[in-house]
Amino acid sequence: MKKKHFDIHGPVFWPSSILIVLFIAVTLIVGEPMAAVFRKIQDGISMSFGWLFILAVNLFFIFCLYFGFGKYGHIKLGGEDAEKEFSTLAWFAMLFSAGMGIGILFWGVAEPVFHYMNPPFGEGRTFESAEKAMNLTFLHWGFHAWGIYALVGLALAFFAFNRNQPLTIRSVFLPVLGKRVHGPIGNIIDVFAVLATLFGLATSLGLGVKQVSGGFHYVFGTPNTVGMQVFLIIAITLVATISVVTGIKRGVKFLSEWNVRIAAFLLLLVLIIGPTLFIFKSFIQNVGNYLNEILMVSTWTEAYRDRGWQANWTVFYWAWWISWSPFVGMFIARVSKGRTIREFILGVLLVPSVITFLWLTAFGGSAIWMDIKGVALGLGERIIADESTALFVFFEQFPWSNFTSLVGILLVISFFVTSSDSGSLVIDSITAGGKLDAPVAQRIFWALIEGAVAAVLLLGGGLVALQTAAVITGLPFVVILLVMIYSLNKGLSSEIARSRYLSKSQDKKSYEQKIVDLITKRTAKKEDKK
Amino acid sequence: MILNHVALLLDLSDMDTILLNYVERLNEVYHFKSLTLVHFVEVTEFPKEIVALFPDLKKPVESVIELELMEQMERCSPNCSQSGSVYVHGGGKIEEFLDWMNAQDFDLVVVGKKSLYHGSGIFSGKIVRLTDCNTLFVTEMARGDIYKVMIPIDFSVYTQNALKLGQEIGTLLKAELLPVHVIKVGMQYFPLVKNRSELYAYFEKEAKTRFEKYRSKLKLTEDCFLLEGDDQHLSKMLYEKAISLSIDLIVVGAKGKADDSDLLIGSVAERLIASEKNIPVLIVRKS
Repeated sequence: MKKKHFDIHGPVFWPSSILIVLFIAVTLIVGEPMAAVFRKIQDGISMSFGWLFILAVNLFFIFCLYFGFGKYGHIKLGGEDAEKEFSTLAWFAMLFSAGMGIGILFWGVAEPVFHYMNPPFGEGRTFESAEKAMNLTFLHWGFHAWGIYALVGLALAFFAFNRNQPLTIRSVFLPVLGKRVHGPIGNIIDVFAVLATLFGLATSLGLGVKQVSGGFHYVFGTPNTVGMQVFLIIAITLVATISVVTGIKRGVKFLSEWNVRIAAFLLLLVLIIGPTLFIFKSFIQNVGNYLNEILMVSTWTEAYRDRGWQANWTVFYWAWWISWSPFVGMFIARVSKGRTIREFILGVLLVPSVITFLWLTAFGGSAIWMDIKGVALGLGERIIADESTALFVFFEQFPWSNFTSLVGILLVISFFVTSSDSGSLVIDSITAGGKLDAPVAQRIFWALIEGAVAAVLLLGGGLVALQTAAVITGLPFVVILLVMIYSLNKGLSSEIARSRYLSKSQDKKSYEQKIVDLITKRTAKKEDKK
Repeated sequence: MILNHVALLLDLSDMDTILLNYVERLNEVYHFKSLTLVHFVEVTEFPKEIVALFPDLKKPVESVIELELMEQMERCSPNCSQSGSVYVHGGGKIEEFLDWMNAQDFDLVVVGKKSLYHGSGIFSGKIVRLTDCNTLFVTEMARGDIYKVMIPIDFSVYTQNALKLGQEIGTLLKAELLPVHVIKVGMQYFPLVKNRSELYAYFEKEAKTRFEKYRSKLKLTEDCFLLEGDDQHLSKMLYEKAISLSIDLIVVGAKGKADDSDLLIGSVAERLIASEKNIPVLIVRKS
């Protein structure tokens, strides 16, 4: 029982921890000038590799459709006899809560309004820019985003349930690497997965805490500074950690169940007290616009003019989703046993996207409507002045704004705690070689590290630093995911050949007869001997 | 030595005796470190009628089979029985069984290849396709004396392993090795070349240089036997050549160059074990 407090897979744990600690140390030591460095790195990667992200994300989406609706669609995750673990409705709720979270609260109001005020093409604050704004936001939060999650989730689920591999990223490369997945190459893949998850998570936590701080500033008038944000990270991380230590596992479960309910409540509230008719009408129109222009907006690379608009938006989102994908993918995989690949793709791609569209229309769309109709003068400017307070400025337009703002803040905090907790669970299981029941102490370690990285990023450059973190770790992971497509395709095609041979069966009757003959012969021999 | 741990898959038919005799002959020169007789129980449970037939049966059916195989081994291959053991996999779950086979890491798996006896070869087909073992298909006519070994090669990734295994067998059994490469001259690809023999000569030269690489790497002494391909399937040609040269064993890689990645074994290997029944075939996966 030596491993009671410490059960790790060294070749993954140590390189990841050392790299992260090194990153924290460098950022803290360099201090102020780090912000410029982050900005440079983000620009550099987005300029040089933006096209790669855009191409890759489109490929992911296309391959999702191919896997789901091609010849592999009928393959069941977990084998022919696998049973579903959750009802379809519960499954949808879990999928949605996995991919949603802090991001949609932070950007739900801010992003559409941003595009509406400062569109990449044409004049701002027009009907045209309003429509385009919704279209772009849908692109960033729609099928392509969920395609990334679906792909990673599908690959993880297939190799975990149909091939009995541990639930880590390296398992997905079995058809390509063979036994080498257990060696150094597998370790390197897992280290990248840890870094991607951690920085992706830190980005979300950083955004979340900015929003909490903005909300407090709005409701209670506390200062909205980096110092306050770092203090909040420490406080919330400590609360999350204590809840883990004292074994209030139920607490986290309770929170994550209520996350969905509170989010649904907020959505419903906005639907009712907001411009209800407009929301429903524009929801339909926005979806139509999105479907109509999906090919054009998703392949737009700003090739003929280069204002760097995309670096801050599309490329950042793709990188962020990609760096989140091991985390969300693993969760999606775990709840999807017993679904066929077709069901899986339909469920993961379609349902959460549609709910997200409704959310964005209700929040961002309503804000745009109020600005354009002159219901609230200067709302647009006030929203884009600070992304972190956008939600609260929006709530201010409705009655009981202090109450709704408070609910919003609580929801962000609750998302923070659950993300931090489940994120450290995922990272811990990767660094422990795929085990799910590693000691609690390790999870605390990772929870603290996540908080620390988020805090350091805020200190070292705020929003830009957060975005840079996602972009930097997203880049190597794009390459890993591209190889993943190839590997998954190989695995699925051999699965079809395998199941063809496995289903061939011998003649049972003649086998039984053979056994009867054998036993008769042996008992007869025994009788003779007597 | 490459072949240390050997598994022998038995199905309780008359073929078992032939397999045991064959392995006994191999063991005279090979001296396997371990020999495992393996039987897979194909049914999940035995029907009540059958169990009811034998009210006196105190042991489970699996251990009856185990005893039977043990006795057969002592009878047919007494030399092997010192290093031999018996494993009966009950429960009828083929996937579990295949996982077990892979986990054992056998160097060689011997199965029967029947043409007269009842049984369609489905089971041995699963072994060769769904595990990563080197699988030897032994025919009813096989005597266990190996004088000539044919190794069809196409310079794919499996070529080296096939040559290596063949080489070891050749050295130990003092058998003659015959690496064979079939050259197919596809005239349709070269519309501008009028002279067929010119083209063949070019391919011949290239094949020789490629074989030379393997020869120096593996320190082979044999030359590569070159055959000119015609319209019939490669496996047919190879088999006919093997019959005319009275080959005792064909050693071939599991997949060839042109085979799709989603095939579990290549077309040549597939046809050599499915259609041509008179010469033992060893399908090579790993070295």
